[in-house]
Amino acid sequence: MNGRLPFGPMVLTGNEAAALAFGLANPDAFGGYPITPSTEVTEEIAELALKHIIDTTYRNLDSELASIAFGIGVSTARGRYGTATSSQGLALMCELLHWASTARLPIVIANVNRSLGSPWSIHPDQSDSLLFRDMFLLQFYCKNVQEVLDMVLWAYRIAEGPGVSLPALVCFDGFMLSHTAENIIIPSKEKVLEFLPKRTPSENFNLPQYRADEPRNISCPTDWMKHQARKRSLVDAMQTAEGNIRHLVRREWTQIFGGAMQYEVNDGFFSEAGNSQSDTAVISMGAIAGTIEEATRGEDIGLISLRVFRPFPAKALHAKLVHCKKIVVFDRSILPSGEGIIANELRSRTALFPQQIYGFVGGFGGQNLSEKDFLHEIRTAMNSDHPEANTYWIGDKS
Amino acid sequence: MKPKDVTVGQFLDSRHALCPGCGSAAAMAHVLSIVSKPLPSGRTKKIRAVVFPASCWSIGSGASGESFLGVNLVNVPFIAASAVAEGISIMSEREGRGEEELTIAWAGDGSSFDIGMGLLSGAASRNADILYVINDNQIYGNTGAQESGATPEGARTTTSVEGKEGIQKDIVSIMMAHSIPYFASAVLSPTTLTDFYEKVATAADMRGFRCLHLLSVCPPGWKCPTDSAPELGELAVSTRIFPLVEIKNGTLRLTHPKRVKPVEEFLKYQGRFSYLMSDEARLNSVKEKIERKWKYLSKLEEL
Repeated sequence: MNGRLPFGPMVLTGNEAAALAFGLANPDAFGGYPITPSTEVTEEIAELALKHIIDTTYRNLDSELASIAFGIGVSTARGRYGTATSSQGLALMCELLHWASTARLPIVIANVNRSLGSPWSIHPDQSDSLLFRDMFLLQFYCKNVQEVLDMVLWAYRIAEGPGVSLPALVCFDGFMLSHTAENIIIPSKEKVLEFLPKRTPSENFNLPQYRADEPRNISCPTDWMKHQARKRSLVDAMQTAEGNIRHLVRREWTQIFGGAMQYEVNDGFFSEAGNSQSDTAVISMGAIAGTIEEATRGEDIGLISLRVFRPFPAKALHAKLVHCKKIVVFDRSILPSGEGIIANELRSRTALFPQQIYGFVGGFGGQNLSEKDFLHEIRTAMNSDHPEANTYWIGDKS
Repeated sequence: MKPKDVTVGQFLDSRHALCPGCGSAAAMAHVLSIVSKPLPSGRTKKIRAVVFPASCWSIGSGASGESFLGVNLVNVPFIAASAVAEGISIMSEREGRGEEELTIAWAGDGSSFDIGMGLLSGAASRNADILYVINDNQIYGNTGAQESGATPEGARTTTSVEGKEGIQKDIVSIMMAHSIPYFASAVLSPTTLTDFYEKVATAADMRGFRCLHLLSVCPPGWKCPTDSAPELGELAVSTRIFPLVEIKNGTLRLTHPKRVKPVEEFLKYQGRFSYLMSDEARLNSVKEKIERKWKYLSKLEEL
């Protein structure tokens, strides 16, 4: 890097793209704590800050707990904050992440998806971020390196939006995206600033402006009615976020960045490939979508790759899938019920998704998922009579 | 700064929910009053926020968004006060008000000696620009007097009903090992008032990580009368149970009591020490450790 952020076409890894995106978002502070496979994001930001290429205040912190606590301070004091982590680190943040969400602090965390122990594994697995699916956190998932960069910008914009003010996770698969270089286009700093101006903090949740007369007591106890209203407002905030994403994609993103980086299809909530008129749709999330795309090339199957998981785009998905008879879901996560998490999300909304849902799980602990495996497993499962009762473990020879 | 220069009271609304005789409530009123006055350098600072981890202050400092202390308060989880305060101070600095604004973390001994020690160590090692106050009542007071790392050996708590078996963590040495710009232990009592005021004013006036270790009498936890805080504070110092230390730029200074009193003078007023007082061997062991600690600090003072 020679004094300024790069701009235009480049070949970058997911971690480098995330770091650049943070650089473009220009947070007031960034907290660093290393963990494989997200470490390079932190290293890059540390260097950008040290060389004054960005004016972010960078701090080497002593744990992910310190990182999220530091972020709570920066964000409460009206600043923009970012950090990057993975698996164990995200899990360690749990208490304070819940606090940050219910205190309505729009912190953005890049989470490189990695297995959450035990046993130790550094391979991709979405169980880490999906562990937080019941928190009021926005969650974005990336299919390729370009999306890593773009979703960090979306995350700040949506998280800081009026009526939202919630933290956001930008998730991308360890190694498959974090360490894989791809061609991407880096937007100019000016355009990013147009899309993502300086944060305007919500006056309800932050320290008052300097010189404000009335002192505040932030997050102190209150009566049950106010407490309950605040809980409800979290649900409203999630719904507002859903509307804001639609608006953002339809208008501003496309207007500002033009044709090069388009997400208009399905209002940006998910991407599509294959035959969208097919009776059968395959849903996945993250980098695996590319493999599934290759596996089913030429087959009569529609493919959907979720980009926004929280808020869950149930309505948009319903509209897309309403004509389908069979839905095949691939999850890189597993629940105590024996289901993958996306399968569970669909099955819990039977009014919207009454179809037969075939759940696949796999790719854990470094399992290499090939195109051949996918096609074989999908075809085998499609001939099964009882999809609801089964979760198909890919590569399970038993 | 002299005690007579400060009018205390404007910072503690009578609706506060702390217990009668609470040492922390009194100390809070004094500290906020002191730091709001012109400081020794002539500079006046504005308190950007006081950060409270889970503590008696979480429920005692206000309600429904109202502050009973006249300054901005930020409540955070038990473990987080030091790093949250650091984040707030970073924003003051970035907005060009680092010199005029003061961020205070007011954390108990449970938060500082135990659950938050990792983060406290981190903020201290980064020389975060905050005033970190350890409000030490030697127990988990808000949950009803359980044993903490600051509980003295032999003191009874609800989780050590025959007196604490383990050691009391040496927070002075721990903080000293972090080479922070300023550390001081202080007690709010009639005989130590000037010492208290000078230390608070000095700490508030400086930049970087300043730590004040305040011994706060807790009548329900210590099983002592509600009007005993001033006297017990004085006795904690004169028995050398709570040495008054000041470490500035690496140099340690002890405030020597005018007349040293026997340890029992401090212990006998408090129900929590009844077991210890009736066990001579154990009492002697505790007294020996107090003596040794004083000698250790005196040696450091000579360096």
